[in-house]
Amino acid sequence: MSISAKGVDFSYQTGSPVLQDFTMDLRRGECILMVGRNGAGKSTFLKLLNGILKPTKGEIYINGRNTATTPTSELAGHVAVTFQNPGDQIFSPTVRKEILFGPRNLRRENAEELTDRALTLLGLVSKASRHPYDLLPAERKLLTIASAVAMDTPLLAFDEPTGGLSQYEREIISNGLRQLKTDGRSFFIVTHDLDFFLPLATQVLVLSSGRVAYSAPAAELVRNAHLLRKYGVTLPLTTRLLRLLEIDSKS
Amino acid sequence: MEITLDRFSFHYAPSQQDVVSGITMGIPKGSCCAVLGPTGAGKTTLLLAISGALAAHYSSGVGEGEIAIGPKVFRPMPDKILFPEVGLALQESHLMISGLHETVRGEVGFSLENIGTDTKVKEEKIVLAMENVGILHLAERNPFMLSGGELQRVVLAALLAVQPAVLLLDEPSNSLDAEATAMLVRILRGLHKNTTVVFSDHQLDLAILVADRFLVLQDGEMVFFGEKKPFLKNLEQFKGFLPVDQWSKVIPQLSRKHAPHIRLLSRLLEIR
Repeated sequence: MSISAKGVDFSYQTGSPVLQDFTMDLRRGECILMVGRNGAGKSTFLKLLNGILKPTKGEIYINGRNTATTPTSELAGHVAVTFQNPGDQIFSPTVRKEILFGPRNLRRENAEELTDRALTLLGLVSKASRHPYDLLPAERKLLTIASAVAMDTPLLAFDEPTGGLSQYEREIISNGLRQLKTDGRSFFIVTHDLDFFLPLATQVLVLSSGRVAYSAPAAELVRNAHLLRKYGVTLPLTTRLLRLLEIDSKS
Repeated sequence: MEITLDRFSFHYAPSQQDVVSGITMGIPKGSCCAVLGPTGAGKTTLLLAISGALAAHYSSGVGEGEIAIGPKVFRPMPDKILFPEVGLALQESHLMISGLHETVRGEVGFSLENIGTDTKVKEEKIVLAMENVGILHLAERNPFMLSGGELQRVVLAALLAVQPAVLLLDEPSNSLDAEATAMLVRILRGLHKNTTVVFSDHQLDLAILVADRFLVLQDGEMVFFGEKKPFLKNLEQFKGFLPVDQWSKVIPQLSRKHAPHIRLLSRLLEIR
Protein backbone atom coordinates (compact mmCIF):
# COMPACT_ATOMS: atom_id res chain seq x y z
CA MET A 1 0.00 0.00 0.00
CA SER A 2 1.49 3.35 -1.01
CA ILE A 3 -0.87 5.45 1.11
CA SER A 4 -3.06 4.26 3.94
CA ALA A 5 -4.99 6.90 5.89
CA LYS A 6 -7.11 5.67 8.80
CA GLY A 7 -9.60 7.83 10.70
CA VAL A 8 -7.58 11.02 10.19
CA ASP A 9 -8.71 14.21 11.91
CA PHE A 10 -6.89 17.48 11.39
CA SER A 11 -7.46 21.08 12.52
CA TYR A 12 -5.21 24.09 12.30
CA GLN A 13 -4.51 25.69 15.69
CA THR A 14 -7.45 28.03 15.48
CA GLY A 15 -10.62 27.07 13.77
CA SER A 16 -12.88 24.21 12.94
CA PRO A 17 -11.72 20.75 11.83
CA VAL A 18 -10.39 20.58 8.27
CA LEU A 19 -10.39 16.78 8.00
CA GLN A 20 -12.66 14.46 9.96
CA ASP A 21 -12.41 10.68 10.10
CA PHE A 22 -10.69 10.66 6.73
CA THR A 23 -9.91 7.17 5.47
CA MET A 24 -8.44 6.07 2.15
CA ASP A 25 -5.99 3.63 0.56
CA LEU A 26 -3.88 3.99 -2.53
CA ARG A 27 -2.21 0.88 -3.93
CA ARG A 28 0.94 0.80 -6.02
CA GLY A 29 0.35 1.85 -9.63
CA GLU A 30 -2.93 3.62 -8.87
CA CYS A 31 -3.79 7.19 -9.76
CA ILE A 32 -6.29 8.73 -7.35
CA LEU A 33 -7.89 12.10 -7.95
CA MET A 34 -9.13 14.18 -5.05
CA VAL A 35 -11.84 16.66 -5.96
CA GLY A 36 -14.13 18.92 -3.96
CA ARG A 37 -15.08 22.49 -3.23
CA ASN A 38 -12.58 25.28 -2.55
CA GLY A 39 -11.62 24.98 1.10
CA ALA A 40 -12.75 21.34 1.44
CA GLY A 41 -9.33 20.34 2.86
CA LYS A 42 -7.68 18.97 -0.28
CA SER A 43 -4.40 20.89 -0.07
CA THR A 44 -4.22 20.27 3.68
CA PHE A 45 -4.26 16.52 3.04
CA LEU A 46 -1.23 16.85 0.74
CA LYS A 47 0.69 18.58 3.54
CA LEU A 48 -0.21 15.67 5.83
CA LEU A 49 1.15 13.19 3.27
CA ASN A 50 4.74 14.42 3.44
CA GLY A 51 4.65 15.06 7.16
CA ILE A 52 4.70 18.89 7.07
CA LEU A 53 1.48 18.65 9.08
CA LYS A 54 0.65 15.79 11.46
CA PRO A 55 -2.83 14.36 12.04
CA THR A 56 -4.49 15.46 15.28
CA LYS A 57 -6.09 11.99 15.39
CA GLY A 58 -5.70 8.83 13.32
CA GLU A 59 -2.76 7.73 11.21
CA ILE A 60 -1.33 8.04 7.73
CA TYR A 61 1.15 5.48 6.43
CA ILE A 62 3.31 6.11 3.38
CA ASN A 63 4.84 2.83 2.18
CA GLY A 64 4.31 1.51 5.70
CA ARG A 65 5.85 4.51 7.48
CA ASN A 66 3.74 6.46 9.95
CA THR A 67 3.90 10.12 8.93
CA ALA A 68 3.56 11.28 12.54
CA THR A 69 6.71 9.49 13.71
CA THR A 70 8.87 9.30 10.56
CA PRO A 71 11.18 12.28 9.92
CA THR A 72 10.06 14.38 6.94
CA SER A 73 13.52 13.86 5.40
CA GLU A 74 12.85 10.10 5.31
CA LEU A 75 9.27 10.50 4.01
CA ALA A 76 10.65 12.66 1.19
CA GLY A 77 12.30 9.54 -0.21
CA HIS A 78 8.87 7.92 -0.60
CA VAL A 79 6.53 10.70 -1.62
CA ALA A 80 7.24 13.91 -3.54
CA VAL A 81 4.64 16.64 -3.15
CA THR A 82 4.12 19.83 -5.16
CA PHE A 83 2.14 22.80 -3.90
CA GLN A 84 -0.49 24.84 -5.68
CA ASN A 85 1.66 27.95 -5.72
CA PRO A 86 5.12 27.30 -7.22
CA GLY A 87 6.53 30.30 -5.32
CA ASP A 88 6.12 28.35 -2.08
CA GLN A 89 8.77 25.82 -3.00
CA ILE A 90 11.29 27.38 -5.40
CA PHE A 91 14.53 28.78 -3.94
CA SER A 92 17.51 27.81 -6.13
CA PRO A 93 19.26 30.23 -8.52
CA THR A 94 18.80 28.08 -11.65
CA VAL A 95 16.20 25.68 -12.96
CA ARG A 96 18.73 22.85 -13.02
CA LYS A 97 19.89 23.46 -9.43
CA GLU A 98 16.28 23.62 -8.30
CA ILE A 99 15.58 20.18 -9.77
CA LEU A 100 18.88 18.74 -8.55
CA PHE A 101 18.23 19.84 -4.96
CA GLY A 102 15.77 17.02 -4.22
CA PRO A 103 17.65 13.96 -5.51
CA ARG A 104 20.97 15.28 -4.14
CA ASN A 105 19.48 15.82 -0.69
CA LEU A 106 18.05 12.33 -0.81
CA ARG A 107 21.58 11.15 -1.68
CA ARG A 108 20.37 9.50 -4.89
CA GLU A 109 23.55 8.19 -6.54
CA ASN A 110 22.30 9.13 -10.01
CA ALA A 111 21.09 12.61 -8.98
CA GLU A 112 22.51 14.28 -12.11
CA GLU A 113 20.95 11.70 -14.41
CA LEU A 114 17.58 12.00 -12.62
CA THR A 115 17.77 15.76 -13.07
CA ASP A 116 18.48 15.43 -16.80
CA ARG A 117 15.61 12.99 -17.21
CA ALA A 118 13.18 15.30 -15.37
CA LEU A 119 14.32 18.30 -17.44
CA THR A 120 13.62 16.35 -20.63
CA LEU A 121 10.33 14.87 -19.44
CA LEU A 122 8.90 18.28 -18.52
CA GLY A 123 10.29 20.09 -21.58
CA LEU A 124 12.65 22.33 -19.59
CA VAL A 125 16.02 21.48 -21.17
CA SER A 126 16.34 24.87 -22.90
CA LYS A 127 15.53 26.66 -19.63
CA ALA A 128 18.01 24.71 -17.44
CA SER A 129 20.35 27.64 -16.76
CA ARG A 130 17.62 30.26 -16.32
CA HIS A 131 16.64 31.70 -12.94
CA PRO A 132 13.32 30.15 -11.89
CA TYR A 133 11.83 33.61 -11.38
CA ASP A 134 12.62 34.51 -15.00
CA LEU A 135 10.23 31.75 -16.06
CA LEU A 136 6.57 32.33 -16.82
CA PRO A 137 4.14 31.09 -14.14
CA ALA A 138 3.18 28.05 -16.24
CA GLU A 139 6.84 27.13 -16.73
CA ARG A 140 7.44 27.48 -12.98
CA LYS A 141 4.64 24.97 -12.46
CA LEU A 142 6.41 22.53 -14.80
CA LEU A 143 9.59 23.17 -12.79
CA THR A 144 7.93 22.15 -9.50
CA ILE A 145 6.65 18.97 -11.13
CA ALA A 146 10.10 18.24 -12.60
CA SER A 147 11.61 18.73 -9.12
CA ALA A 148 9.19 16.20 -7.66
CA VAL A 149 9.74 13.70 -10.50
CA ALA A 150 13.55 13.93 -10.11
CA MET A 151 13.29 12.77 -6.48
CA ASP A 152 12.53 9.33 -7.96
CA THR A 153 9.91 8.47 -5.35
CA PRO A 154 7.39 5.68 -5.92
CA LEU A 155 4.56 8.10 -5.09
CA LEU A 156 3.92 11.55 -6.57
CA ALA A 157 1.34 13.92 -5.08
CA PHE A 158 0.42 17.08 -6.98
CA ASP A 159 -1.77 20.04 -6.00
CA GLU A 160 -3.62 21.31 -9.08
CA PRO A 161 -0.77 20.51 -11.47
CA THR A 162 -2.61 21.84 -14.55
CA GLY A 163 -3.86 25.09 -12.96
CA GLY A 164 -2.87 27.99 -15.24
CA LEU A 165 -1.32 25.76 -17.90
CA SER A 166 -1.94 26.18 -21.61
CA GLN A 167 -2.52 23.41 -24.12
CA TYR A 168 1.22 23.08 -24.76
CA GLU A 169 2.17 22.44 -21.11
CA ARG A 170 -0.89 20.26 -20.58
CA GLU A 171 0.32 17.97 -23.34
CA ILE A 172 3.78 17.84 -21.77
CA ILE A 173 2.24 16.83 -18.44
CA SER A 174 -0.10 14.33 -20.03
CA ASN A 175 2.76 12.58 -21.88
CA GLY A 176 4.99 12.81 -18.81
CA LEU A 177 2.43 11.24 -16.48
CA ARG A 178 1.70 8.42 -18.93
CA GLN A 179 5.40 7.62 -19.09
CA LEU A 180 5.79 7.73 -15.29
CA LYS A 181 2.73 5.50 -14.96
CA THR A 182 4.28 2.84 -17.18
CA ASP A 183 7.36 3.05 -14.91
CA GLY A 184 5.06 1.93 -12.07
CA ARG A 185 4.72 5.21 -10.19
CA SER A 186 1.58 5.95 -8.17
CA PHE A 187 -0.18 9.32 -8.19
CA PHE A 188 -2.35 11.28 -5.82
CA ILE A 189 -3.68 14.37 -7.57
CA VAL A 190 -5.75 17.23 -6.19
CA THR A 191 -7.56 18.89 -9.06
CA HIS A 192 -10.61 20.65 -10.48
CA ASP A 193 -9.53 19.60 -13.97
CA LEU A 194 -11.52 16.38 -14.42
CA ASP A 195 -11.48 16.80 -18.18
CA PHE A 196 -7.73 16.29 -18.16
CA PHE A 197 -7.23 13.74 -15.40
CA LEU A 198 -10.20 11.35 -15.65
CA PRO A 199 -8.60 9.36 -18.50
CA LEU A 200 -5.51 8.78 -16.33
CA ALA A 201 -7.29 8.09 -13.05
CA THR A 202 -8.11 4.76 -11.46
CA GLN A 203 -10.25 6.22 -8.70
CA VAL A 204 -11.85 9.51 -7.67
CA LEU A 205 -12.37 10.71 -4.09
CA VAL A 206 -14.81 13.52 -3.45
CA LEU A 207 -13.91 15.47 -0.33
CA SER A 208 -16.67 17.41 1.38
CA SER A 209 -16.38 19.11 4.77
CA GLY A 210 -13.22 17.14 5.53
CA ARG A 211 -14.75 13.71 4.85
CA VAL A 212 -14.71 11.35 1.88
CA ALA A 213 -18.24 11.97 0.64
CA TYR A 214 -17.98 9.73 -2.42
CA SER A 215 -15.39 7.37 -3.76
CA ALA A 216 -15.64 5.45 -7.02
CA PRO A 217 -13.66 4.13 -9.97
CA ALA A 218 -13.15 6.90 -12.51
CA ALA A 219 -15.48 5.31 -15.11
CA GLU A 220 -18.33 5.11 -12.60
CA LEU A 221 -17.98 8.80 -11.76
CA VAL A 222 -18.98 9.79 -15.29
CA ARG A 223 -22.15 7.69 -15.03
CA ASN A 224 -23.05 9.11 -11.60
CA ALA A 225 -22.17 12.70 -12.34
CA HIS A 226 -25.60 13.90 -11.18
CA LEU A 227 -24.84 12.66 -7.62
CA LEU A 228 -21.79 14.86 -7.36
CA ARG A 229 -23.41 18.25 -7.77
CA LYS A 230 -24.20 18.52 -4.09
CA TYR A 231 -20.46 18.27 -3.35
CA GLY A 232 -19.68 21.09 -5.76
CA VAL A 233 -18.23 18.77 -8.41
CA THR A 234 -19.40 18.82 -12.01
CA LEU A 235 -18.04 17.24 -15.15
CA PRO A 236 -16.47 19.58 -17.70
CA LEU A 237 -18.98 21.61 -19.71
CA THR A 238 -18.06 20.04 -23.05
CA THR A 239 -18.36 16.51 -21.59
CA ARG A 240 -21.86 17.36 -20.34
CA LEU A 241 -22.86 18.93 -23.65
CA LEU A 242 -21.58 15.96 -25.64
CA ARG A 243 -23.52 13.58 -23.41
CA LEU A 244 -26.64 15.67 -23.87
CA LEU A 245 -26.18 15.75 -27.65
CA GLU A 246 -25.51 12.02 -27.77
CA ILE A 247 -28.65 11.28 -25.76
CA ASP A 248 -30.55 13.57 -28.08
CA SER A 249 -29.33 11.79 -31.21
CA LYS A 250 -30.38 8.40 -29.75
CA SER A 251 -33.84 9.54 -28.80
CA MET B 1 -15.48 52.56 -20.93
CA GLU B 2 -14.32 51.67 -24.40
CA ILE B 3 -10.80 50.29 -24.72
CA THR B 4 -8.86 50.85 -27.93
CA LEU B 5 -5.36 49.71 -28.78
CA ASP B 6 -3.60 51.12 -31.81
CA ARG B 7 -0.51 49.26 -33.02
CA PHE B 8 0.49 48.66 -29.42
CA SER B 9 3.83 46.89 -28.90
CA PHE B 10 5.95 46.30 -25.82
CA HIS B 11 9.22 44.65 -24.82
CA TYR B 12 10.58 44.40 -21.27
CA ALA B 13 14.15 45.57 -21.96
CA PRO B 14 15.72 47.56 -24.84
CA SER B 15 17.63 44.59 -26.27
CA GLN B 16 14.73 42.14 -26.09
CA GLN B 17 12.10 41.14 -28.62
CA ASP B 18 8.52 42.41 -28.49
CA VAL B 19 6.35 40.49 -26.02
CA VAL B 20 3.25 41.95 -27.65
CA SER B 21 3.52 43.31 -31.13
CA GLY B 22 1.32 45.62 -33.20
CA ILE B 23 -1.98 44.94 -31.39
CA THR B 24 -4.88 46.92 -32.85
CA MET B 25 -8.36 46.31 -31.49
CA GLY B 26 -11.40 48.04 -30.06
CA ILE B 27 -13.50 46.71 -27.19
CA PRO B 28 -16.79 48.62 -26.92
CA LYS B 29 -18.07 49.86 -23.56
CA GLY B 30 -19.78 47.05 -21.63
CA SER B 31 -18.23 44.30 -23.73
CA CYS B 32 -16.50 41.23 -22.35
CA CYS B 33 -13.33 40.27 -24.19
CA ALA B 34 -11.48 36.97 -23.71
CA VAL B 35 -7.74 37.05 -24.37
CA LEU B 36 -6.67 33.56 -25.35
CA GLY B 37 -3.36 32.01 -26.27
CA PRO B 38 -0.60 29.72 -25.09
CA THR B 39 1.87 30.51 -22.30
CA GLY B 40 4.14 33.37 -23.30
CA ALA B 41 1.75 34.71 -25.93
CA GLY B 42 1.58 38.09 -24.17
CA LYS B 43 -1.80 37.83 -22.42
CA THR B 44 -0.64 39.01 -18.98
CA THR B 45 1.55 41.75 -20.47
CA LEU B 46 -1.43 43.14 -22.36
CA LEU B 47 -3.61 43.24 -19.22
CA LEU B 48 -0.80 44.88 -17.23
CA ALA B 49 -0.37 47.50 -19.97
CA ILE B 50 -4.05 48.48 -19.94
CA SER B 51 -4.11 48.65 -16.12
CA GLY B 52 -1.14 51.01 -15.98
CA ALA B 53 0.90 48.54 -13.92
CA LEU B 54 3.27 47.73 -16.79
CA ALA B 55 4.67 51.27 -17.17
CA ALA B 56 4.54 51.82 -13.40
CA HIS B 57 6.54 48.69 -12.52
CA TYR B 58 8.74 47.96 -15.54
CA SER B 59 10.60 51.19 -16.10
CA SER B 60 13.11 49.57 -18.46
CA GLY B 61 10.32 48.38 -20.74
CA VAL B 62 9.80 49.98 -24.14
CA GLY B 63 6.33 50.54 -25.59
CA GLU B 64 5.00 51.84 -28.90
CA GLY B 65 1.60 52.78 -30.27
CA GLU B 66 -1.26 53.88 -28.05
CA ILE B 67 -3.90 52.68 -25.61
CA ALA B 68 -7.13 54.64 -25.14
CA ILE B 69 -9.45 54.00 -22.21
CA GLY B 70 -12.70 55.92 -22.54
CA PRO B 71 -11.86 59.49 -23.55
CA LYS B 72 -8.26 59.28 -22.31
CA VAL B 73 -5.53 58.48 -24.81
CA PHE B 74 -2.18 57.23 -23.50
CA ARG B 75 0.94 57.10 -25.66
CA PRO B 76 2.13 54.41 -25.61
CA MET B 77 0.25 53.28 -22.46
CA PRO B 78 -0.99 54.55 -19.08
CA ASP B 79 2.07 55.45 -16.97
CA LYS B 80 0.38 55.00 -13.60
CA ILE B 81 -2.05 52.48 -12.14
CA LEU B 82 -5.56 53.56 -13.08
CA PHE B 83 -7.32 52.15 -9.98
CA PRO B 84 -10.22 52.52 -9.17
CA GLU B 85 -11.47 53.23 -12.73
CA VAL B 86 -9.58 50.12 -13.86
CA GLY B 87 -9.38 47.08 -11.56
CA LEU B 88 -6.83 44.32 -12.14
CA ALA B 89 -6.70 40.82 -10.59
CA LEU B 90 -3.35 39.09 -11.05
CA GLN B 91 -3.06 35.41 -11.79
CA GLU B 92 -1.28 34.82 -8.48
CA SER B 93 -3.98 35.76 -5.94
CA HIS B 94 -1.69 35.68 -2.91
CA LEU B 95 0.23 38.63 -4.38
CA MET B 96 -2.96 40.69 -4.30
CA ILE B 97 -3.53 40.36 -0.54
CA SER B 98 -2.40 43.45 1.34
CA GLY B 99 -1.55 41.65 4.58
CA LEU B 100 -2.80 44.70 6.48
CA HIS B 101 -6.05 43.10 7.59
CA GLU B 102 -6.58 39.99 9.66
CA THR B 103 -9.98 39.18 8.22
CA VAL B 104 -11.47 38.66 4.78
CA ARG B 105 -13.98 41.41 5.59
CA GLY B 106 -11.10 43.83 6.25
CA GLU B 107 -9.26 42.77 3.10
CA VAL B 108 -12.33 43.24 0.90
CA GLY B 109 -12.89 46.64 2.53
CA PHE B 110 -9.28 47.73 1.97
CA SER B 111 -9.93 48.62 -1.67
CA LEU B 112 -12.86 50.82 -0.56
CA GLU B 113 -10.73 52.41 2.20
CA ASN B 114 -8.20 53.36 -0.46
CA ILE B 115 -10.74 55.39 -2.38
CA GLY B 116 -12.13 57.02 0.77
CA THR B 117 -15.55 55.37 0.85
CA ASP B 118 -17.88 56.53 3.64
CA THR B 119 -17.89 53.98 6.52
CA LYS B 120 -21.58 53.04 6.38
CA VAL B 121 -21.61 52.70 2.59
CA LYS B 122 -18.36 50.74 2.86
CA GLU B 123 -19.89 48.12 5.15
CA GLU B 124 -22.83 47.64 2.79
CA LYS B 125 -20.55 47.33 -0.23
CA ILE B 126 -18.29 44.82 1.54
CA VAL B 127 -21.23 42.55 2.38
CA LEU B 128 -22.67 42.85 -1.11
CA ALA B 129 -19.34 42.02 -2.76
CA MET B 130 -18.74 39.04 -0.46
CA GLU B 131 -22.26 37.78 -1.10
CA ASN B 132 -21.78 38.18 -4.83
CA VAL B 133 -18.82 35.78 -4.91
CA GLY B 134 -20.13 33.45 -2.19
CA ILE B 135 -17.61 34.15 0.57
CA LEU B 136 -19.84 35.58 3.33
CA HIS B 137 -19.06 32.49 5.41
CA LEU B 138 -15.35 33.37 5.24
CA ALA B 139 -15.82 36.99 6.42
CA GLU B 140 -14.01 36.59 9.76
CA ARG B 141 -11.30 34.22 8.53
CA ASN B 142 -7.66 35.22 8.08
CA PRO B 143 -6.94 35.64 4.33
CA PHE B 144 -3.62 33.84 4.73
CA MET B 145 -5.37 30.74 6.06
CA LEU B 146 -7.60 30.31 3.01
CA SER B 147 -7.29 27.84 0.16
CA GLY B 148 -6.14 29.00 -3.28
CA GLY B 149 -9.66 29.09 -4.73
CA GLU B 150 -11.08 30.93 -1.72
CA LEU B 151 -8.34 33.54 -1.94
CA GLN B 152 -9.11 34.08 -5.60
CA ARG B 153 -12.70 34.89 -4.66
CA VAL B 154 -11.54 37.36 -1.97
CA VAL B 155 -9.52 39.22 -4.63
CA LEU B 156 -12.52 39.30 -6.95
CA ALA B 157 -14.80 40.59 -4.16
CA ALA B 158 -12.33 43.38 -3.31
CA LEU B 159 -12.31 44.46 -6.95
CA LEU B 160 -16.06 44.23 -7.48
CA ALA B 161 -16.63 46.30 -4.31
CA VAL B 162 -15.15 49.41 -5.96
CA GLN B 163 -17.20 48.90 -9.15
CA PRO B 164 -14.45 49.70 -11.64
CA ALA B 165 -15.53 50.79 -15.14
CA VAL B 166 -12.93 48.38 -16.54
CA LEU B 167 -12.26 44.99 -14.98
CA LEU B 168 -9.11 43.12 -15.98
CA LEU B 169 -8.82 39.50 -14.81
CA ASP B 170 -5.77 37.34 -15.43
CA GLU B 171 -6.95 33.73 -15.59
CA PRO B 172 -9.81 34.17 -13.16
CA SER B 173 -11.08 30.58 -13.24
CA ASN B 174 -7.73 28.93 -12.50
CA SER B 175 -8.27 27.46 -9.03
CA LEU B 176 -12.03 27.81 -8.80
CA ASP B 177 -14.29 24.86 -8.09
CA ALA B 178 -17.37 24.19 -10.24
CA GLU B 179 -19.71 26.30 -8.10
CA ALA B 180 -17.35 29.26 -7.95
CA THR B 181 -16.82 29.04 -11.72
CA ALA B 182 -20.60 29.09 -12.24
CA MET B 183 -20.72 32.10 -9.92
CA LEU B 184 -18.01 33.83 -11.95
CA VAL B 185 -20.02 33.20 -15.13
CA ARG B 186 -23.08 34.75 -13.48
CA ILE B 187 -21.09 37.75 -12.23
CA LEU B 188 -19.43 38.43 -15.58
CA ARG B 189 -22.72 38.07 -17.47
CA GLY B 190 -24.37 40.38 -14.92
CA LEU B 191 -21.68 43.03 -15.36
CA HIS B 192 -22.37 43.34 -19.05
CA LYS B 193 -23.27 46.80 -20.31
CA ASN B 194 -21.98 48.64 -17.21
CA THR B 195 -18.45 47.31 -16.99
CA THR B 196 -15.96 46.53 -19.74
CA VAL B 197 -14.27 43.24 -18.91
CA VAL B 198 -11.05 41.85 -20.35
CA PHE B 199 -9.90 38.48 -19.07
CA SER B 200 -7.24 35.99 -20.09
CA ASP B 201 -7.64 32.23 -20.05
CA HIS B 202 -5.94 29.06 -21.19
CA GLN B 203 -9.27 27.27 -21.41
CA LEU B 204 -12.22 27.97 -23.65
CA ASP B 205 -15.21 27.20 -21.40
CA LEU B 206 -15.40 30.51 -19.54
CA ALA B 207 -14.69 32.45 -22.74
CA ILE B 208 -17.47 30.75 -24.68
CA LEU B 209 -19.91 31.24 -21.80
CA VAL B 210 -19.31 34.95 -21.18
CA ALA B 211 -17.25 36.69 -23.84
CA ASP B 212 -18.60 38.61 -26.82
CA ARG B 213 -15.15 39.54 -28.18
CA PHE B 214 -12.21 37.19 -28.64
CA LEU B 215 -8.55 38.11 -28.96
CA VAL B 216 -6.21 35.24 -29.79
CA LEU B 217 -2.48 35.84 -29.32
CA GLN B 218 0.46 33.74 -30.39
CA ASP B 219 4.06 34.82 -29.75
CA GLY B 220 2.83 38.33 -29.02
CA GLU B 221 1.05 38.70 -32.36
CA MET B 222 -2.68 39.05 -32.84
CA VAL B 223 -3.88 35.91 -34.64
CA PHE B 224 -7.58 36.77 -34.34
CA PHE B 225 -9.76 39.52 -32.98
CA GLY B 226 -13.48 39.49 -33.47
CA GLU B 227 -16.94 38.60 -32.26
CA LYS B 228 -18.17 35.22 -31.10
CA LYS B 229 -19.65 33.81 -34.31
CA PRO B 230 -16.53 34.25 -36.49
CA PHE B 231 -14.40 33.00 -33.58
CA LEU B 232 -16.43 29.79 -33.27
CA LYS B 233 -16.51 29.37 -37.02
CA ASN B 234 -12.72 29.50 -37.16
CA LEU B 235 -12.12 27.33 -34.10
CA GLU B 236 -10.22 24.63 -36.03
CA GLN B 237 -7.68 27.24 -37.07
CA PHE B 238 -6.49 27.52 -33.45
CA LYS B 239 -5.88 23.80 -33.04
CA GLY B 240 -2.48 23.09 -31.54
CA PHE B 241 -2.31 26.16 -29.34
CA LEU B 242 -5.83 26.45 -27.93
CA PRO B 243 -7.73 23.49 -26.41
CA VAL B 244 -10.36 23.39 -29.18
CA ASP B 245 -10.83 19.62 -29.59
CA GLN B 246 -13.91 19.17 -27.39
CA TRP B 247 -15.63 22.37 -28.52
CA SER B 248 -14.98 21.48 -32.17
CA LYS B 249 -17.13 18.38 -31.58
CA VAL B 250 -19.86 20.23 -29.68
CA ILE B 251 -20.41 23.33 -31.81
CA PRO B 252 -21.35 21.76 -35.18
CA GLN B 253 -23.90 19.56 -33.40
CA LEU B 254 -25.33 22.46 -31.43
CA SER B 255 -25.67 24.43 -34.64
CA ARG B 256 -27.42 21.67 -36.60
CA LYS B 257 -29.79 19.92 -34.23
CA HIS B 258 -33.35 21.08 -34.02
CA ALA B 259 -34.70 19.57 -30.79
CA PRO B 260 -36.22 22.48 -28.79
CA HIS B 261 -33.85 22.15 -25.80
CA ILE B 262 -30.81 22.05 -28.07
CA ARG B 263 -32.03 25.16 -29.88
CA LEU B 264 -32.56 26.90 -26.56
CA LEU B 265 -29.08 25.92 -25.38
CA SER B 266 -27.55 27.14 -28.63
CA ARG B 267 -29.35 30.44 -28.25
CA LEU B 268 -28.18 30.82 -24.65
CA LEU B 269 -24.62 30.18 -25.75
CA GLU B 270 -25.17 32.43 -28.78
CA ILE B 271 -23.78 29.72 -31.00
CA ARG B 272 -26.29 29.85 -33.86
